[in-house]
Amino acid sequence: MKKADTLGDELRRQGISRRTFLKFCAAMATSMALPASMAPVMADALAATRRQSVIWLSFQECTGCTESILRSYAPSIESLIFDFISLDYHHTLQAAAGRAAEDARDQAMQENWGKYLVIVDGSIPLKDGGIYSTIDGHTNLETLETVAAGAAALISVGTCAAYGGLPMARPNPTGAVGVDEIIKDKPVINLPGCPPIPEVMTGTIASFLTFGRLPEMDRLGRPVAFFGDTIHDRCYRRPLYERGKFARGFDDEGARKGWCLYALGCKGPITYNACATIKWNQGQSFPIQSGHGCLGCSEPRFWDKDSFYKPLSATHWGNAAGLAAAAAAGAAVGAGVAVLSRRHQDTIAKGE
Amino acid sequence: MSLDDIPIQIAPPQEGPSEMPKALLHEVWELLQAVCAGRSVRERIDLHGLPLSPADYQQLQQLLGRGEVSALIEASGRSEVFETAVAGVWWLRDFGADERLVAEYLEITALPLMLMTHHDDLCAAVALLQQQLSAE
Amino acid sequence: MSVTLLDFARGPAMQWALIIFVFGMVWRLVGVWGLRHKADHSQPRVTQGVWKRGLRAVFVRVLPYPEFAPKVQGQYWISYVFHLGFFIVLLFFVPHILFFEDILGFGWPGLPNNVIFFVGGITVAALMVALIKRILNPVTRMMSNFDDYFAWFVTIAPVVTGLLVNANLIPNYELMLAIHILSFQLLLIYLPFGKLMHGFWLMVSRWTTAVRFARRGGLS
Ligand code: SF4
Repeated sequence: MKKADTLGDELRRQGISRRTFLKFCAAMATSMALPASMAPVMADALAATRRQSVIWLSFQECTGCTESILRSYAPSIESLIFDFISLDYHHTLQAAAGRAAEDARDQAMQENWGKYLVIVDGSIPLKDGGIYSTIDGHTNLETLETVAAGAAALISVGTCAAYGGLPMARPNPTGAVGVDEIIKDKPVINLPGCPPIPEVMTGTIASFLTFGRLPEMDRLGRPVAFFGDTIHDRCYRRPLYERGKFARGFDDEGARKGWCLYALGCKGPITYNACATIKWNQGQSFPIQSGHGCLGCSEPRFWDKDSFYKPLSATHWGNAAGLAAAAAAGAAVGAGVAVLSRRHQDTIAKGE
Repeated sequence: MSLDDIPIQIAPPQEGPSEMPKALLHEVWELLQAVCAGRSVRERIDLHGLPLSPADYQQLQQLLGRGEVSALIEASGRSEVFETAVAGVWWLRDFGADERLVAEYLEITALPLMLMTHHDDLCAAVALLQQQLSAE
Repeated sequence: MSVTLLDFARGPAMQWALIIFVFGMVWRLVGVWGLRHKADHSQPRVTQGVWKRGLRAVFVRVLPYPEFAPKVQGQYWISYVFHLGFFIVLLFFVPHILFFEDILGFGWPGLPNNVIFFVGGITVAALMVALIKRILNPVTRMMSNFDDYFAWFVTIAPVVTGLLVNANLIPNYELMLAIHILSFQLLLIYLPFGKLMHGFWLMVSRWTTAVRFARRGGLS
């Protein structure tokens, strides 16, 4: 077998010149807020790499994350990422099925041991020996551990793979967890979101391809380039929040005028993601721009946090009955204390 | 109630450009100086990621003007390049195949990378041409 | 990792803070009102309409006694500023209104955030001045105990943390918000059991004192 070509050589044969690399890297540098002068350097680095083998593992998931990255809006600059990687295993996308599919994975692992990238979507069930999700007779836990052993790095795509997501919602019947609860000895990056923004996925993969390592992460393992600010920090309705202009219903005057959605339960202030800047569907819009508050889908446990429509400042204060009971108890104690005090006065009055 | 009953107030557009274009121009000057002095070959300033208002954008265009060269490039979508009236300062816009603007930047150099043929592409062309010649 | 401080602050901590607050308040109110009134053995000089004197005192004492005014009016103004400021911020910041609305079932119009932040800043400043005056004046310093300082602390804490939440100085917004909510809960829990209870006793004691004095033919 001849020596493997560089990505630059390989793509040139398909009629893709180095100018495309330059463009791709310029777009990536912009979206990741890297210095613009980095782009040519990145382009050279990218062209000099070998095509990256990627193994995509799908566990307890809904395929929404795959949909998001696929429907990203091909043809686009970002969709070039599929030319840069060799997607060696992906349930939904590969032509092979059954044994052939599993064999393809084994082969990719063997050939690229220690170098391949693992992308995971979906959570991993741990309860009852992990029997709630199996593929080819193996539990997701077994598969993950086997495949991760030879990985250069792992990317958890979507809130389920990152933090357990929907399968982990109370009462978490399958004992679902995210990838980084299991894999501790490999670099793991989280790209939460339900689903994540396509550019966040392509940007992170591309950054791994060019720099050979995962980008800088925050305390929840997310790339700072995309998850550095809250939605609220970058929301175009923010001036209305400051002015105290709040929509109070989805069809009231405020809603029509595009006022802030805080009172309708927007979780923008506590949600870190890039929706307000990168937006969705070719930069078309994002939930708040379409008139609905942020659900906070890229934060851990967002399903269990709250009603999506409860304002952030409203709390789980209990109920009126509880407070009435507290008042009754207070009255009883108060009356008791008063009686004791009167008795005491009487005793003193009797001169004892 | 009809839609007309809603007193819609349109916020007055922010008047005039901000300080941003001036600041950018200053940065351009510094980088141009570096290239002139041979301290650097090529510098870039990202415009896409900057919070430029339409007025800012317009003013920047006015300040830099348009120079002698302009070109169109087709590489996985269109790219536009023109030299500004400030020699050595090029303005580039990259579009995806979906016509969406994906990058916009100033390149301060003698010739932007996007216009140059990469050496690897050039060498690959040697082989390709040779193939063609030997086929005849 | 799964339950954050903010979840705790918005959930169980809020429930318990409210329960302790209501319990404490009712206990103190019933307990004190249940006490036997002090017998007044003097001959009543005024028998009719003493309640009017009580009512009058409640309003007249809004301003310092003219004789003492030069000495104490600074204190009065500072107190008014931070009391008013505190209540404006508490009751007219829209997110706060949404908090009350959730409990009470009704809301009211709020003020723009910049007004709230301005008032909040003044409130903090006035509270600082009040503390400095208390410490510098030898008499008040001697009279002050832990209760006074702690009451001051639980009052200023929610205002300061609230300003910090919105100032965006702390990168971790949700952590700051959690601390803000917890500081408010500290205020709620402490209120019935310390001098902050004056919020409920102030008018009652003015009235009671005035009525007692009136009976003896005096003015309060
Ligand atoms: S709509 Fe949501 S994110 Fe936007 S300003 Fe209002 S609260 Fe913040």
